[in-house]
Amino acid sequence: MNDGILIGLETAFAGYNIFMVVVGCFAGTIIGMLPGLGPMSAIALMIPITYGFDPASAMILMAGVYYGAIFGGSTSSILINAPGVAGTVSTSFDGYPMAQRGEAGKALAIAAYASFSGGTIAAIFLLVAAPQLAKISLSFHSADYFALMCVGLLSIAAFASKGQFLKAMIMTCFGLALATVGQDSLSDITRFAFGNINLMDGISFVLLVMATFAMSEAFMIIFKKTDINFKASDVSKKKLGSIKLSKEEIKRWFQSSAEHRS
Amino acid sequence: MSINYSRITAFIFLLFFVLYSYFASEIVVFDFDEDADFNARTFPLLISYLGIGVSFLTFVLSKNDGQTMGQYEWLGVIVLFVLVFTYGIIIKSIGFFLSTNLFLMVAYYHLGARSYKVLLLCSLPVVAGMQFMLHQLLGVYIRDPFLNFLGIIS
Repeated sequence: MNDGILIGLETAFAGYNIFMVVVGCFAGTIIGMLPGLGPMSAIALMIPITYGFDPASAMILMAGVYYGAIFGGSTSSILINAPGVAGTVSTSFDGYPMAQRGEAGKALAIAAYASFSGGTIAAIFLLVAAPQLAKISLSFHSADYFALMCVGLLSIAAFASKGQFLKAMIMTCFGLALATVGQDSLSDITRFAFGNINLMDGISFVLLVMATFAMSEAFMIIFKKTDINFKASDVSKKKLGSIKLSKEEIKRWFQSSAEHRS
Repeated sequence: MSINYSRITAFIFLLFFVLYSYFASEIVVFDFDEDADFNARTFPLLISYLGIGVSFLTFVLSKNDGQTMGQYEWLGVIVLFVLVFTYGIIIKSIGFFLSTNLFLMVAYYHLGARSYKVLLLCSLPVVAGMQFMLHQLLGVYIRDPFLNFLGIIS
């Protein structure tokens, strides 16, 4: 096992492969910033480029594109409240209000640090724990998946603010209802398509996220046009702000992350 | 019982789930699956019952949030909604370039921009740049009958 890890590290730290990571991350970040184009689209676009590459370098480029695209998605989430990737939806919860307060730079910096540290720690963890994780994943059956899904849905109760539980449950039911549009995965029977060929494949999650966040933001700007606390002109005039984080802010960020996890 | 935003929203969702339950009950399943414990109709029906229950409870239990209908710009939102809807309908027939330009210019005008320079500069270069990037650089095919007619793209 150790020999394999050493060979892997030798390949990863070769100058050419580090260059590939930089290029991949840069291209992935640019593509990820475009709302609607996620890591899968970025990798699909990069496949023709990698045909002539050495397999290891091609995989490294793809990994760079993947991580870059996920990080790039957080940029549009923070700046315009339009998550381009499903994974960056939660970034917009804190990031966009920070951008509205003129702290977009800090939000982008935190997203970059969190993305890098999270990706690195996860990669190291996967390196050590992959065989054990494979065993656990193989032991998962349909009942376990169902239980996991129930926990996920019920955790909405934990995230819903005080007195908003019923509203959160309505949105859960609404989300589940939208998920039933298209072909049933068990019987292939088409549901709620009303003869429309575009609905047969279901409703795209990215499309739904864009509609929920980006469009609602546009509607809210018009909706509260006369509200002196929410002028449309003020939204676009916010400065990017500094990207530097003070020791206090780093401490607060770690504390709030720990609170969210617990 | 007073009317407030939460009640109106809950009522809209109640109507949605009633309609959803009707269409869920109309789902045609295979003959051999009709009496099965779980078929393509089961999950949508369960969701609809849960949705009806929760939205009804929200409708009954909501308290007055102190907001009135007159506080917001309803007309502006409805007009933008109609514009988005129209854009979604015409994009296939006249193509991305023309429909997006038209949508952006009309939307900017609706939002208060009156200068022709602003209307043109904030739509034409943006759409052209986006189309060029997607079509030429990233290789994402966008069907465009208008540009095809002009012979710009094939």
